[in-house]
Amino acid sequence: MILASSFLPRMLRTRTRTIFANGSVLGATNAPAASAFSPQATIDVMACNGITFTRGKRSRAGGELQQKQKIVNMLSLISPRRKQPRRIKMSYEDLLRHRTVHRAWQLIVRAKREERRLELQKQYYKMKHACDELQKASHVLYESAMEKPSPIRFPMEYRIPTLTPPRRIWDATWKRPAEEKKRKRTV
Amino acid sequence: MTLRHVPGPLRPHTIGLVGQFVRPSRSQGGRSIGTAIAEEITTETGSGMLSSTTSSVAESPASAAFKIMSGLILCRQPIVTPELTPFERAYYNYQSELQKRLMWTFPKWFYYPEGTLAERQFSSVQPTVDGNDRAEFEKPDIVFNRDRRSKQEIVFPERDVERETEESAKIYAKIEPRPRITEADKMNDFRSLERKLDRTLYLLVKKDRQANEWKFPAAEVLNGETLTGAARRVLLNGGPNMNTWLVSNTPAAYHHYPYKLEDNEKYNGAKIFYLKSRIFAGIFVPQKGSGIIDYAWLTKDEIPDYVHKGYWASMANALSKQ
Repeated sequence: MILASSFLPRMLRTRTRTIFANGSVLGATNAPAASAFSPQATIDVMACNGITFTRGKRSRAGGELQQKQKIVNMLSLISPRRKQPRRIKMSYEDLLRHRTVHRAWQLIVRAKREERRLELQKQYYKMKHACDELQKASHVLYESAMEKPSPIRFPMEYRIPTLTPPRRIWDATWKRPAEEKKRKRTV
Repeated sequence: MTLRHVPGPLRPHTIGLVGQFVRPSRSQGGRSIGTAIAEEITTETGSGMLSSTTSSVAESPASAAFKIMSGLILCRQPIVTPELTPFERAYYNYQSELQKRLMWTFPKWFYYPEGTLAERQFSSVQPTVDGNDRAEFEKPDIVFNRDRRSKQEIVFPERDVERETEESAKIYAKIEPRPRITEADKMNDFRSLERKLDRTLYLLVKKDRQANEWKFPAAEVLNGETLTGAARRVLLNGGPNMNTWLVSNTPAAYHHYPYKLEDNEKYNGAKIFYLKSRIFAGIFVPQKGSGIIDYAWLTKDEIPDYVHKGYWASMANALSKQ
């Protein structure tokens, strides 16, 4: 258990509890409940800066404590707890500027999206026209052209564009590998 | 939606009209909107020359034989992301600054644990946060030596070269990204595949002819062959050492043109169906006996300078701008 209150909705939460290395809870009247994660080993990391951490003896328990401490540290870094930023308050002029920029951006995004849509539409109808012509020209060729691999397989070499090119931009020395001989079938 | 069939000789007012293909009417009902759009789009930049040639093809009797050919639109996809416009650049910068303002305070306790020498050195180098700064119209809000009203400024301690080990020196090894503009760009080498990394490059081949030299490679579909088979033969014209992938068996573009009566007695014209393919490695090397005397890898903007206008009208919309 890291912090018992962490997983409860805000309304049901009482308050965050600080648990010390020896298992005692700050301000608690009852003994802490036992759990698989060993409550004695956990501490409130954010409160660490102010509280002196009582180091344990060099024992197996001590090793376990450090390990669990590390886990708690990492989790606190990842979790959004205590990381809510301060609300940005803009002056009226700044707000106008922000809104203008946002609207301009939305327009640009919209224009790009529309351009892409039109390009795809043109490509589609081009393809459709070609297929219609093929059907008129030769039915046999049309049928073979309509065969689609299911599912579609992309080659391994397919690369997504990156911000900057790789060290070796293009492999000009690529050679077609020799055809593999057919293996003899064993019964 | 149906298009009216305009019979008889070519009318003067139909020359140069966008989208008015003259076709023999079919008994199987009207054409769909899609076909109509396709035709409009096909002749987007239709010239008078084009209309006259296509109408003569269409008006020929149904028993006319056409040479069916399979062509290849071989392209190299972009290797780098598209260029940013100045506004995009400024916008992304603005968004980065906003994110820095909203970023949570640097977790010094994690990277520089309390009580270590490194922590002491790090803290000594950090700029002091002025609590009395009333420049912003909000009250100062300083938590863990960070003014929450603005972005945090972190200063890293100077590199201690004396105490550095081989391993710690690795952290300071600079990552230098490769330039987006290559040698091929500077030399304007149209045969190189390293040119224009942010754009798609299409292969154009030059055949030994008086006119219409530059085209997408194509070959006749022989008896018993499919379009794909013929396309594979076309690829061999560029040598075996090209790592290509055929996107689909379905044609992406269609171009047709009539033959002059003197040239070819067997066929009235040719119909070319283009298949799309992509190259991932290797280079195009024109083979002997292919009839290809030159080749170029061009972007969509550059192709119209090389090809015939009517041909471009057939091909343009199948290609990608980026």
